[in-house]
Amino acid sequence: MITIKIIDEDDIVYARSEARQLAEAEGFSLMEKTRLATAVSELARNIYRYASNGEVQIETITNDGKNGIVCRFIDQGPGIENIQQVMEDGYSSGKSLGFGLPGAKRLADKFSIKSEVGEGTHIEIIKWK
Amino acid sequence: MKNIPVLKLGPVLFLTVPENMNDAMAQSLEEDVLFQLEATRAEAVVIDITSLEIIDSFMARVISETAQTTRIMDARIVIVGMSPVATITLLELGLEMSDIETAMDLETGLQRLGYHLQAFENKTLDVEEVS
Amino acid sequence: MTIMAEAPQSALSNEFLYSVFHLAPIGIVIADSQGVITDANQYVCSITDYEKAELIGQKVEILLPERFRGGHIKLREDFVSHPSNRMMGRNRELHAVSKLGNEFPIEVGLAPVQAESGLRIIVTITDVTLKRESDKKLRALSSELEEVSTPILEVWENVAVVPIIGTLDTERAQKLMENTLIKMKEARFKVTILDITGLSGIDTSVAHHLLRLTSAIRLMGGYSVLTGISPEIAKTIVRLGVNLGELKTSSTLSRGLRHAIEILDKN
Repeated sequence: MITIKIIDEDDIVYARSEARQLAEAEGFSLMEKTRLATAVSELARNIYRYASNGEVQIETITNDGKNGIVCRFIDQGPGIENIQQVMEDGYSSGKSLGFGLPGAKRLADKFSIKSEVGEGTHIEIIKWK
Repeated sequence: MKNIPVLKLGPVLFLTVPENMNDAMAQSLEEDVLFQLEATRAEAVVIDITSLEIIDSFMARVISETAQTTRIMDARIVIVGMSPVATITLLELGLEMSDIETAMDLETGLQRLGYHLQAFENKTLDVEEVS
Repeated sequence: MTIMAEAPQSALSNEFLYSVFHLAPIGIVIADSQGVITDANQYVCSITDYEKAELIGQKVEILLPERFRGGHIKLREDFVSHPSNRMMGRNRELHAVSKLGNEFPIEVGLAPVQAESGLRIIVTITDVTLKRESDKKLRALSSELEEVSTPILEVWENVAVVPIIGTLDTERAQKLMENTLIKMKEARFKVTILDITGLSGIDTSVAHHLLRLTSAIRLMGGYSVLTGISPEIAKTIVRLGVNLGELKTSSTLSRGLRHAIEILDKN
């Protein structure tokens, strides 16, 4: 498992580059590699922007013969108060295009999110080969 | 901090976005373009994103905003080199980017702006690196 | 809570039952809780080239290629501690190896049974070599069909026609989008004519896929024209409230081609 602490902006590039490299090593198609790396970029950026403390975990998984990659985005940030609201397209918290969560969800095969206000957020995405 | 080099060919500014552009460079992209537009009185800008394999929402916003501010400064702008995968990913992210002009390659991009690349015999092309 | 079969007291004679076991058209191996083979039927012997006597007393791993043996021991021990009826090999590729070292794909079923002498596992084994081959052929045919069913034809300089025939589900739309964009980039099409004469029906999701495709074409710097629109489809589009925006549409391919040439002239 690769763990990348998100401390400065360059870590976002690092995280998505690691995800892409792992996908490449696992034989993912160009389209799927790009989707995964883009989703990682979006979610890692969230950690950078909104949480003070966070990391990205990337590793391969197997389930019933299927091979895939799971990425976890764990932070001790402010948490999300209304998860349903941020998962709707068009929601925007100020200048940015929202948290980019609906987009990341569309790019992944599986998406799950847990968040507690004041405690942090835990997002997990899976991309199957 | 390394800036993205800006080339000038006649009245057109060219920028090539590097492969693993980080956020800081992306931010300075817009500033560089606007600065050079004013300094050189260029009429048009071509941004080549062929090397960009991954375009996330941040990058998309930078491109979008650069395009908007360029137009406000009364210059035309075209983005060249969108790859099929980047296009599909952008749409899946929900970003239509309907406000930017794109072209598949440099030549088409210049045509879109209203320019033609001409080879001159016995003359050299006037290419200046402005930054 | 596992439910285990109990070997029943049957009216059928033991000899007959043993024949059923021995001659069944599927491989059956009986193993104990330590993974030791206590019996094997004729089918198993014929597909593995072992004599029955060579198998009895051996661990089941003897039937697996060496590289899988270590991992299988763990799986076996896990199974014994939580026994259940199970079919394996559905989503993964299982392989067996014969006495002579030939590997072949198999499907396996497991059923634990409480016998007088202790826990026994009934293991069924089928050689699925032929099945895998025909699966492969089917997949190849199906992808060939996909290729053929959405050809991308260059009809004019910088103009391509994509006839969309049949149904357009999410998977097909995805493939269509990828192929069209890649072809567009390779061949430098300026205008792509999407002809939906052969489209079997249009609903919200099909409309969404089509519009998504035109957005993709536009985002890559191209133009699209939608042709082959029947009166039915035209009515449905309006009724669905689909917003076509700037998209040029027409009922016939030839009118569409005219639009395409106009677009080329203007740009």
